[in-house]
Amino acid sequence: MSFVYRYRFGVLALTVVGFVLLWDAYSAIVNNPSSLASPSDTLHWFYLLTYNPGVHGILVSGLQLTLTAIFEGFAIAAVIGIPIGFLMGRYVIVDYFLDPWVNAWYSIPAIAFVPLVMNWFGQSYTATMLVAFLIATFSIMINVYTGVKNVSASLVEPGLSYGANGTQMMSKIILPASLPDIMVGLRLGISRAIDGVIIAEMIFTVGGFGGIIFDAADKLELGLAVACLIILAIISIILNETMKYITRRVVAWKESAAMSR
Amino acid sequence: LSAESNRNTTTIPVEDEIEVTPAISSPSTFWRRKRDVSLINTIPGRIGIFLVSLAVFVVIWQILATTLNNTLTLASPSEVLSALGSLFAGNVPLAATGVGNIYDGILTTIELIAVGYAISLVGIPIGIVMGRWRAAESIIDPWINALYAIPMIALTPLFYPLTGASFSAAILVVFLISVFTIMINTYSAVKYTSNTLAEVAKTFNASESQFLTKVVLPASLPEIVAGMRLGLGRAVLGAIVAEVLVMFSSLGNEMFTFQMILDTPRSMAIVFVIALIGIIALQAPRLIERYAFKWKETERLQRGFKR
Repeated sequence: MSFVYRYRFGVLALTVVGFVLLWDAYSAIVNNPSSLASPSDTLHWFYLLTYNPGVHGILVSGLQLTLTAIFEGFAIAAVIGIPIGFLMGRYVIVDYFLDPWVNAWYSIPAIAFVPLVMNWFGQSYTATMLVAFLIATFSIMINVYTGVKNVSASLVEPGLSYGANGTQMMSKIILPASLPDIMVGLRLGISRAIDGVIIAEMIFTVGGFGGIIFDAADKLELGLAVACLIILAIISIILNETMKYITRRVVAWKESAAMSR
Repeated sequence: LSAESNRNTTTIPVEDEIEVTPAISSPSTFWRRKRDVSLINTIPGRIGIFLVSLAVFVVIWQILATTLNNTLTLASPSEVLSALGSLFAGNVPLAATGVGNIYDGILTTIELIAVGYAISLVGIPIGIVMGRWRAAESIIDPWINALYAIPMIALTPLFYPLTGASFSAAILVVFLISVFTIMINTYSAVKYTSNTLAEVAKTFNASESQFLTKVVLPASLPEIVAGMRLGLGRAVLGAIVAEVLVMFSSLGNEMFTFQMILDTPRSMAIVFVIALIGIIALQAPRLIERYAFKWKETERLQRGFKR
């Protein structure tokens, strides 16, 4: 047990401080607030974001827009992606029919959806949400599909020998056994939904967090951009960790199986 | 056990950061309903069903396009095809700059992906160091976890004022987007090397370097390569985003320029080209992996449960 490991939280704090100091030193060298924001700039903007009513209002409305788009896109993606993934895992014919498409759409870089969606819905909230949906849903679909398809034979065989019918097989064996993969799919889905919303908002620049960051950088208010970026980072870390926490709670048995291994 | 569980709360379990790679044909899938589908299980059958699904897709698209009857909203398949043809004939200049043609655009994109991705392979040695030495892990892990969760794409607009609209800014974006995926996959693969293998190596008194080169690296290679594949997919996304936001006269930019001058068929044709680049970049390595790591697949199956 090394020294560094024992004091890892202290070491982490030190690296954070070191990072801020390096950032400060580098921005002092660059010495140009319109090409690199210094930590004090950023701090100043944090102050404005909290106490200046105008800036605060922009922040709150942007946050609302972005978060609703993320959650709505993600929810629709889950509602559509999970059943289709299930069907693909269950029925070979659905699998063979959809697999090339799902894989192909999954591989398309998110941003390629933006001009298409823009044609249909303009630079609107719906379009942003739809980009998030399109990106998240295939990731969810693929993970559900893989989980359902690869349910271990040692779980399925007893079910078959005890004469479980289709519903029982689904609800008592397949669903619980594929739950870990479904949860992984949902977690990857939400991070992809965040990506999608930010990309769409940066291009539409009609509002939302991506729009604020892009706009701020465009107007060379880099302190504001960095401050918003830090807030966005904290939000995505919170969402990610929440999903991890839910996964741990839902599939606690899986974790213990991995540990006893 | 308590120390073990303590470690597990600070780090990620293996399944977490790795997107599952589907097994080709595992005995565990026998429960799937295969009634009346013996024909489609043959190779011609699979090709046939793919062609059918392709036809269904094109027909739905064509019907949608005819019903909407609005080229600006949705170009029909034939219009997109002819736009592709005119672009690849090479005599259509890029709309944003009026010079060059689609081949230049594709080459720029590939160059961007290649350079940024090559740099981001530095994630592999860092991942190995993190997986093997706990001191390094405890310093780097929180940072990587945080940076991996952040949508790196949001950083893109910040590079523009720092470096200007340049190729190097775009490379930086590609690098940042793909490096953490590669690092995390390498790290978790190395860290969670099977105990069975580790114990054998210990029993035979392997030195650290022998253990690393003869046991850990071969055992974690499939997952490292899977991470490289996922990283490549992210690199493609990063490249296109960077092209749209920080570079001019590139494929990503063209897609929007054509859209803005209301040339929807050409815009959609470029979307199609970009989609194709993404599909090739993500699917080709998967095929290679399937054949290169057949042993891994069988090992996983013999263990009786996934992963």
